[in-house]
Amino acid sequence: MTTDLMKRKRGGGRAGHAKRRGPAVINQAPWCVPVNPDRPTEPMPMEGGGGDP
Amino acid sequence: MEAIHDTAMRVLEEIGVAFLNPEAVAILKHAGCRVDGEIVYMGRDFVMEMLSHAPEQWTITPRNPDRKITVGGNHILFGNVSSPPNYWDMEIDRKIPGTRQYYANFLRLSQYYNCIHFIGGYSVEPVDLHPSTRHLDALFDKLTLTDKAPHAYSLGPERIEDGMEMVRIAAGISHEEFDATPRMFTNINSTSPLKHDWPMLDGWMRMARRGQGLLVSPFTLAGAMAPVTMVGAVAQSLAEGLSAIALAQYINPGVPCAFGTFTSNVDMKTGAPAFGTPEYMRATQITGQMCRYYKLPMRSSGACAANVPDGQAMWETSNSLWAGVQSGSHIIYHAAGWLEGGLIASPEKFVMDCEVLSQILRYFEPVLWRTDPGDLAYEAMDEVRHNGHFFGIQHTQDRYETAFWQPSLSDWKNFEGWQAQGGVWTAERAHLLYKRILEDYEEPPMDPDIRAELTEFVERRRAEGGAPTDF
Repeated sequence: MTTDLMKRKRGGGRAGHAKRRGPAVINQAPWCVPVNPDRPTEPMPMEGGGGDP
Repeated sequence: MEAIHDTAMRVLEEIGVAFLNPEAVAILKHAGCRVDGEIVYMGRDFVMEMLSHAPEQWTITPRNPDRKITVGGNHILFGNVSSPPNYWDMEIDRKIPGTRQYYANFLRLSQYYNCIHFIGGYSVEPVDLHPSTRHLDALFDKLTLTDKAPHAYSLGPERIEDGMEMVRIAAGISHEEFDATPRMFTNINSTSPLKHDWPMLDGWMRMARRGQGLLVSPFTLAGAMAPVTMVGAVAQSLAEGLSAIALAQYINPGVPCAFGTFTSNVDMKTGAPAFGTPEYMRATQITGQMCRYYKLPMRSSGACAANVPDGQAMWETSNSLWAGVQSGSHIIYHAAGWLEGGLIASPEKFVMDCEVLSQILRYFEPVLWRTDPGDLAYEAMDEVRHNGHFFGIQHTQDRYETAFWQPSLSDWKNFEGWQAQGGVWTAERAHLLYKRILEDYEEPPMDPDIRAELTEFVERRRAEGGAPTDF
């Protein structure tokens, strides 16, 4: 059994793994540094006095 | 804002901050600060002058330069859960101490998900590794199983010096190249109220001298380690964090720093910390305003108090994450995998959080508010008019594949369809998905010579005893 396994041809490492695994487990956008396009929420007025009307 | 700033400055000037590190105290005394034992009193002019040296935006270039991240501006970055001592998954269904195997699996998940941009502290503490050499094995795993911007703990001289050297070796660069631009980062937490401890300050100063990324995140829980009022807690948090940044800027003017908020509240019936609360969200937003006032990049977190990946876990974490978005945070720590106030890491929660992160990333895409004629779709409405539908028309056919965010975990079937497929609840689906991801994961390539050098370094430092422990 061990001999058979040792004789077996290697699966091709990374390339073989990619070939065997089929479609990705999850769909995801490529890695990138995202941009937050929104203006921040700013509850505090510059001079204080926020909160109660 | 001026009132919060003035309160923070009065704290620094009149109450002072304890620096439990004689070297730090000596440096600040030399800088002209008033010192009484371990208490350092900083004048606002000194603090503001030091803050003026801090860059508004900076980068971290990890061993894979394609994974370079920008901290500041309008960028936003998400990182893995960091530092829970315990692990939970659905199969084990118990809270158990973290191990190297579980830690490595979180690294694989962090590498796999493109919505994770940097690798923070240990996703779960590998307590089966001896504390004196744990940092060597844990950082080896981090640098080989991932290629994203790495963190190292500021826990005394040996750990941070080993961390910097391992990051340098993994990048295959010289000491000069390492010092020239940030390749990694650390995060320290003040020991609130108003105290910085010895090992964190030591690591902070060593990283400052080497020009690496510095995050300070005071752990100001309102009602416990900070005032029960949220603006009071934010003011104390600012005093603690800005004092550390002033120290770093005095040591190395221009060294990249970011201010981290960890201001939340506690359950006043039990003292237990709470996260993702309305108070937490407002504290995060207010801190964002103050960071822009000081022109500092900001860190916040994706946190919850829930013990298992249930509904509470997701509404609290989602509140935290969206508060990070609303506040203009640049770095969001603990964005995936956190439970029990940071005491448990869970792979199911990691996968569930990444589902939310992928939605946030989609929410940022300008295509959603583009107003080209094709987007406004008058012709499509003209074609369908009052009695048809849009499924089959060319306008839909041309766009349907990319028109909407696509879930990896969410189940959009109706009740009967969901029930017919076994009625599987979210956490169980997440359990199955995280296992499939681990099977699909591929280790990022590393030059064999670099890996051998890294291995040799770990073995040598292990033989030398690693870092001293006090037990």
